[in-house]
Amino acid sequence: MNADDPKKLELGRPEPVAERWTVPIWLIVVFGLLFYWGQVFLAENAGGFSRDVYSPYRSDEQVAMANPQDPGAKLRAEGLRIFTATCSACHQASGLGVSGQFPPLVGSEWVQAPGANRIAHIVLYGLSGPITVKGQPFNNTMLAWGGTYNDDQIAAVLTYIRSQWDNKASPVTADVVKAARAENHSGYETSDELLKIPVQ
Amino acid sequence: MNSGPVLFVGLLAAMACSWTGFVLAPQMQLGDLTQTNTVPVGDTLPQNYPLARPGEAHGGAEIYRANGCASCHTEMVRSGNLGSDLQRGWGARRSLAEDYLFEQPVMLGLQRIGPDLANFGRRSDTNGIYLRLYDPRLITPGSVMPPYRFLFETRKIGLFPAHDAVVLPDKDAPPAGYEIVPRPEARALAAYLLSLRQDGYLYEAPPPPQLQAKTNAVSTNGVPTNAAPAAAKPAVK
Repeated sequence: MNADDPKKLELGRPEPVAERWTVPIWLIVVFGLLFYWGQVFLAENAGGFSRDVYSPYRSDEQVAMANPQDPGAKLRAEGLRIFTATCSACHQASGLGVSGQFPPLVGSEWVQAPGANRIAHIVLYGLSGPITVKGQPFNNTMLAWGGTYNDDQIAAVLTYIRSQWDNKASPVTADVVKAARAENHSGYETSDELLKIPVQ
Repeated sequence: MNSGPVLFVGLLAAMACSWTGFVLAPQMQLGDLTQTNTVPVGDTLPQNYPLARPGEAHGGAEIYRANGCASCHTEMVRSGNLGSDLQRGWGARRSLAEDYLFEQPVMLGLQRIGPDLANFGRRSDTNGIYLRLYDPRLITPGSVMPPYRFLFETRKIGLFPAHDAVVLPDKDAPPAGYEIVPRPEARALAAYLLSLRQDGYLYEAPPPPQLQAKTNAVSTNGVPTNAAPAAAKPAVK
């Protein structure tokens, strides 16, 4: 308002008031479409608002797929748990055993055999009497663990000792343990009996 | 007509919407974030991440803050589909929320007049940082970064030269018998800059497939392989 304009200075003019206008329908439609587009964008790109999903990934599944796929990792973790609880008392956490009493697992030809048949028998039924490991004679008794652990757990611990330390042998499936258990051997295994079992 | 209540409700709604979006939702999403493990590459072991800064670097963060470094430098690497940061060697992976877990305040930066510093500790050394602070154009000709010479002092060499005196090219060297020594502020700032490392791959930003090739080979026979490629180190110094 120009204060110099004499016409605007006359008294008695009503106070200006805010008027009400209807919002045009096209504006409502535009905002509706924008809102819809925003929701669609979030649904497609926000990854369900998961904290693990960052661009360029768009969902939890994509992130999981992009990570190293290592099915053996869980098996080895379970094997480590069982090994620590049970086996390491004699064979030691290092897997080196005790010279003259408990055979080593590290570099053992029994552990690293192409197949896990024989060590599956040892763990299931125990072992008694003389055995030669890495050229060293041992004569002791290992208890049977077939009643303590199921096939999956024994497969896990066998996988663990075959891949831990410097050992590099294939993982063990529960089927191998199941087949060995089906033989229903009575009493402890002996070295001679083990040698009759096929390696693979 | 009294518009007060309408105004109040409108303002409250606007505030509530932005507070929900910018404060409440991120808090629900990331509020209980904790230290995590890195995704190992090859036969490396998972590491705790992130690690707290060394003591001197805490003071350096305050120097960084006080001198407005964040006005020109960011500390945030974008993912490959959002920018060229990875190609420039500013990091091996994009930045994640975990990277800032121990930052107080988080100095993400406002704009990139200079390069990103999120991984500067991986590609620089102490004397390089001193040179850049003393005269940025010694290393980057044409740099628009101001020199921070007040972080240094020219001193007469005593019985022995200082172990961390700045090694300058001949034409900029101080007169014979003098040396340029970083003040404590410069030492702290260098410690902070060297502590800027977003190391290791995390679950949210896993190693690229070519680095995973070895890791995946592990899973087929359950045996870790020895010849693991190290995480790509940025080539830019």
